[in-house]
Amino acid sequence: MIGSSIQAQTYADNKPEELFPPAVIKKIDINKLRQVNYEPTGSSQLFKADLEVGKTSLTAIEGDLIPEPSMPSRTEPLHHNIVDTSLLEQSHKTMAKLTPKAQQILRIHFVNQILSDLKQIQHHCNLPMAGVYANSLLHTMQTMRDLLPFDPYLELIMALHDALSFQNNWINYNIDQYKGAYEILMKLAQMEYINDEKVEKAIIKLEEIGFDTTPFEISAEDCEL
Amino acid sequence: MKKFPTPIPYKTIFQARYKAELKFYNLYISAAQQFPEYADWVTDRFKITLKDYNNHCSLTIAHNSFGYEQDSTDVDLEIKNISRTIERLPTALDVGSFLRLGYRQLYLISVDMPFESLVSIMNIKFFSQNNKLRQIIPSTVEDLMFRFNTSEEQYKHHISLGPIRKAEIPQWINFNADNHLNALTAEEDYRIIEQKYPETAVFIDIDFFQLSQQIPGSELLPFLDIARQKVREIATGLSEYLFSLEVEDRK
Repeated sequence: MIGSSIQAQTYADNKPEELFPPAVIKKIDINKLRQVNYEPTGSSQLFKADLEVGKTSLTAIEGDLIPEPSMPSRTEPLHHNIVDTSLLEQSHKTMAKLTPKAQQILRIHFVNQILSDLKQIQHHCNLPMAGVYANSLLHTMQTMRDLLPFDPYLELIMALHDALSFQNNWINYNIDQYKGAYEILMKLAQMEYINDEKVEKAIIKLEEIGFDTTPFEISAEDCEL
Repeated sequence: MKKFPTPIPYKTIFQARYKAELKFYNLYISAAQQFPEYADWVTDRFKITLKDYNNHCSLTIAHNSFGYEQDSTDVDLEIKNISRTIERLPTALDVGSFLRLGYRQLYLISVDMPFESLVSIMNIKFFSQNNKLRQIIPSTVEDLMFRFNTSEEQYKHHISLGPIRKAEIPQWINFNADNHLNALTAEEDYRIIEQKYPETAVFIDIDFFQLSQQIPGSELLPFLDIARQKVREIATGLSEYLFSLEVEDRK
């Protein structure tokens, strides 16, 4: 299901002339699709990818020539409309100086806060108090995004963030789902070496327990190719 | 499993202050004679300093205080020497109560990462990451330092910490070469000591003290026990907070 590549027309920025040179049919990996989807709830740029196998609800027309995407990876995140440019530059400068060990230390710093909030949401599921922890959780996830934009683990964090933040969906998930998310996040964080494959598998597990990690919708008109 | 570096105490100072009285001048020489383990000494009539060059430590007896200072990482030596000091000196100087008791340790936490990475970790973990603040502070944090003045019950603490390069360590850990190194070999001895400092480290300075108009002499030992435990807890706790690689499984 999730993780299988889909053919889809992809996001492009407002400079189509730079995108078109060698036009190729491109299969877009769903995780790359998510990379353009960094917006917290309320963003004006919404994407919706129907992830059922063989179905593409995006505007891909069979046989269309799809330009080689200038798709940034999560290691070069898009922060348009999200983060002040100066803050982004600051994060990049900070991250450029981090050794892998320093990055791991900071990752665990944020992950421990996130796990703590996930555990508290489990304890207070369906109670008003859960909102306090959900707010804290999303805030920590966004801070991690701002400060550790190159960390591969961030992809998993943002997948969960998107699932929870879209239309306040955090309120609809149940204790078992939060418990499952906790286990998935913890298992990956305990690994010393994290690569894209491990992250992708973790995101698939999130989807398997019911988290919609790509909830944002995009219409054909929004894709200015 | 412990997943963070151990803070090493490079300098320890213990000081007990008391009200100055004239009887000091009749007592301080005989009091100093009770410490034959210090082979060298110097006096200026306001104080006498007993020196142990081999162990890089000294004991100073003054008209209004006595204090032990050690420039080494030998924790057992520090415990032994301070215990002897508080067992013998109050009686020998006829001091029944104190105005201030202080226990201070200066730690280094050696880290195997560049200075810039260490600054980033300390910046993210100690400074607020509020967006507005981050817009105010110029974007590249090249160096930083933290200072906390805190209290708990009757005890107060001055805590300073920051990232430090090898070349900066002598400015912050002020090695008492006059009292802790033999003048004949001091230059070479200190060069060797400097060479052993870590390339990059976290510097932690914790001053734990108690102030009062009258601290009974019976408080000396309990104060030391509490001070040692608390200072060690703070140093270890800071190291764990900064460098822990443990993912906490919360129940």
